Amino acid sequence: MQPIHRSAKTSTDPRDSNFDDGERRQQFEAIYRATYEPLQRYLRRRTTLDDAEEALDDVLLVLWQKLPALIEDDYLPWCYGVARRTLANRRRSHQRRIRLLDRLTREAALPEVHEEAGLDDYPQLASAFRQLGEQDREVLRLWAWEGLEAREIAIVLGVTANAVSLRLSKAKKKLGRLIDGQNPAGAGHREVKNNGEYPS
Amino acid sequence: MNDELRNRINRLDPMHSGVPTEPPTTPSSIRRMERVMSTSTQQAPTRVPEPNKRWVPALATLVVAAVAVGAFMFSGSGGDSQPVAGPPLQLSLGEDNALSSCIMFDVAILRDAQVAFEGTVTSVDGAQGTLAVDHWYKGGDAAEVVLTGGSEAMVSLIGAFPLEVGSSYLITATGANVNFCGYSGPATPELRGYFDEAFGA
Repeated sequence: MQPIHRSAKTSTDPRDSNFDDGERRQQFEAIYRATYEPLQRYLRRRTTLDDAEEALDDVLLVLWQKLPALIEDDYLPWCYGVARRTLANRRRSHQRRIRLLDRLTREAALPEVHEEAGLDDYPQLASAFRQLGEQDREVLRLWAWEGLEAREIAIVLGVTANAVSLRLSKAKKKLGRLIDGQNPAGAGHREVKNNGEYPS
Repeated sequence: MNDELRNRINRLDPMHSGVPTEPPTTPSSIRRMERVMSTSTQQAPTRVPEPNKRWVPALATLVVAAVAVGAFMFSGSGGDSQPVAGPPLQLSLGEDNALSSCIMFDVAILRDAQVAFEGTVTSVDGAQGTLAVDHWYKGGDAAEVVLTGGSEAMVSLIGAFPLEVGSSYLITATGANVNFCGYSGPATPELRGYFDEAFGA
């Protein structure tokens, strides 16, 4: 019944007798210190504060359970990947509860959707961003907000780095075209090329 | 130019660097870390009788065919019904004389399951439980799955689990038989992590 990580080296497997409890705690504490704040930001960028707090508990528990994988992998993108799946599962469960509630009330409110900031300060930019598809927005968020490169984004999304590079490049171009479309004269917006393209 | 675009997108960041987060060194953060580290990282070991047979010792022996009973209708209040696509899938929880040994859990074996989903128990009636499917990982698209044939003996023998209305479970099956021994169970973050690893989120 005991889970086995096929990819984990025996010497770093916490279930292995060579990986004692003290060493496991030490490893986790180091991971915890390094990821605690980035994970808070990641979650709060994508859900409500309350939901982010609960999701963080779920994520940390998975990280504790999967410590061997953390030790061996590029851990921060890997942690973001766990957070991403945790949020997706929580949303599915929430939607399920909403559907059940809707059967009774017919007027259940939709889950609170996180909004990008800047709607007041940068309405045109925010409008352009929100016209993108969710996949484009998410790859741009990971690139800009989390500051990840394509290789790291690939770990988060569970796809190849090439696929991320392609998606990222297209998303940048789309956003550039949308911004240009709002400013056809292009005056004062030299940061976007006339054809809407941003160099990769 | 890339930096300029990145800077522009960062203007939309609701958690930009000026928004504080809780440092990992506060008392509450440390308590949270200790709470996480107080959770078990392993389950009680079980004898490994025949590793090469993979699922076989762990599976119940009942075979129940998937049944189609037409489109399932949720019965809303006041007779207001809402159709939900997909006929229920019926799976067996096994029988009392199932073999008592479990094979060792392995994500690679989990990945071989023909059916995998997460569902919420909507009703339990005797030895039958009904789950509304929240997410199909693999092998189906029904909105509802009916589990039949559970017993207390199964719980003690092969690590099966009681079904509670309103609780979520992660279930795998081979053929029409639910897999136990850690390959199905309450939807804990740990088990969900293994499902995501095996089947993709």
